[in-house]
Amino acid sequence: MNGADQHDDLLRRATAALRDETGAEHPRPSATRARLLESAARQSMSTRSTGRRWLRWLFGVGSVFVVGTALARVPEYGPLLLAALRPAADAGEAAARRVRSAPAKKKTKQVKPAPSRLALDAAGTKATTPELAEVDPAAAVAAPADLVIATSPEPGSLGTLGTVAAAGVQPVPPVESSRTAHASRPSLKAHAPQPASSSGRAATPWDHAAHAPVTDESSPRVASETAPSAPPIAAAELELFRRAERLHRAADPRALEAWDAYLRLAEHGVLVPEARYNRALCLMRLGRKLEAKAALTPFARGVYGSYRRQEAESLLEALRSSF
Amino acid sequence: MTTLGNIVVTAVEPAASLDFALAQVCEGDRAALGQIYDQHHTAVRMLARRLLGAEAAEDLVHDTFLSLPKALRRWNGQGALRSFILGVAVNHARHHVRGAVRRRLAMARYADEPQSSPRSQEEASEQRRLAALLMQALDQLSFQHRATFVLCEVEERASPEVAQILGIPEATVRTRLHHARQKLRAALQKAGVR
Repeated sequence: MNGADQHDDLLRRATAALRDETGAEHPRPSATRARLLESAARQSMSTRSTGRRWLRWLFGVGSVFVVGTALARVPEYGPLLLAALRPAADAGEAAARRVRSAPAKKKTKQVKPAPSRLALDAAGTKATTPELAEVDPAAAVAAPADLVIATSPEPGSLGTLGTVAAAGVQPVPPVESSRTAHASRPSLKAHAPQPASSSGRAATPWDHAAHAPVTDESSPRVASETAPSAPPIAAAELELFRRAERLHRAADPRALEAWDAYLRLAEHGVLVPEARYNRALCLMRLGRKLEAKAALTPFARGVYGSYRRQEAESLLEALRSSF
Repeated sequence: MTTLGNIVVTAVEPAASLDFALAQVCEGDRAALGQIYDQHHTAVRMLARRLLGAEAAEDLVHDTFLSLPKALRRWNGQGALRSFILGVAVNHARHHVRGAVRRRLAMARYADEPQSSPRSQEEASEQRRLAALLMQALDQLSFQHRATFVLCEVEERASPEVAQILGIPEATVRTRLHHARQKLRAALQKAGVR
């Protein structure tokens, strides 16, 4: 027997040995069977949950796409949607605050206004912050036309005037549900003389308006909510303000005297900042630049917070360049 | 076909029954999978032990049948089901063979077995020794040569069936078998086996 045949024989023997060694039946095939079926069950559950996860993900993406497309096509849906969502959010927040602590609940309550002092007008009057009214024109449109006194200068004139919404017969709601809403509007409490703030000046209601979140201002509901909590204005003051505004809108030179008359009467009135600003505009119209500059400077320095600050700065810049 | 009154009872053909069982397996029916396992686990286990050794064989059997529902969806029905399942096992064995080889090498390193047994020992002992040596020689082959040799020589399957299991032409099977034999002979010679 040569070497090749010998090795062939060896390979044959080894192959046969391996065949015989591995050909024996496994002692416990049922153990592997049970393991297999258990793994199959686990795999099936995993596959099903993966499918559900994909379904959830697809549903979420689809919903976002559909809602986004709808909002993009109809721009006015955005504010409407926010307005619709706000009550639920406010209610949820108020409930959460009630649960958290009782003292916190007391803090959110607003002081009721004295009914006999300021409700001189038969209908009662409320003033919105001009900023809010400007930010949300939809709210102004939604309000009755005869209750909105919009003083807007002619196009091309210097700056824009604020809007005073004189609400009709609306009782003042005693309780505020939202802290942000409370901060976004001047309350009667804030209307009262304020102690000196940390910055060294008396806090004004406009400070509250200035620090209100922007999201609140963009909601149409803000204007309608702002009116009930704003302090009533004395009828005489309001009459003077209306007269001055009427003249101001007509670019009448007597508007300046009218604003001065109003400011003499309502030294601490809620509309004083707006009156001062309008007075400054009148001074500019009359060419009394130095006085106009002096009148606009407090606004630009932020004495009234952010109220009319930007407009005042741009007007001062224009005045500086005209000197 | 049997008639019971007005009702005609048709006997279910074995092929139709098998198709139904396979469809059930594809749907994830565990009972049907268990049935398929009962019919084919012996063949798969033997192949697994010959390809990988006893240590990794059960894992390979498990993985083969676990992946069967997914694999059966791709099966076109040509050839025997057992050949298809063995093909699935061979494909899975690729992932197991490296681990099995590593394990065997480690065991051989620390084993107290003598390198050669005296002729006076029993035949069973000699058979075990030869089988172990061949397994070590197989570890030195590529997986393609290893699978071809095991299927053709150890399992004594015909070339067409091996070609079907491996998914390669018959000529390739013969070529691989030839090279595998050559390498195994050299390996056994190198090991000094008489």
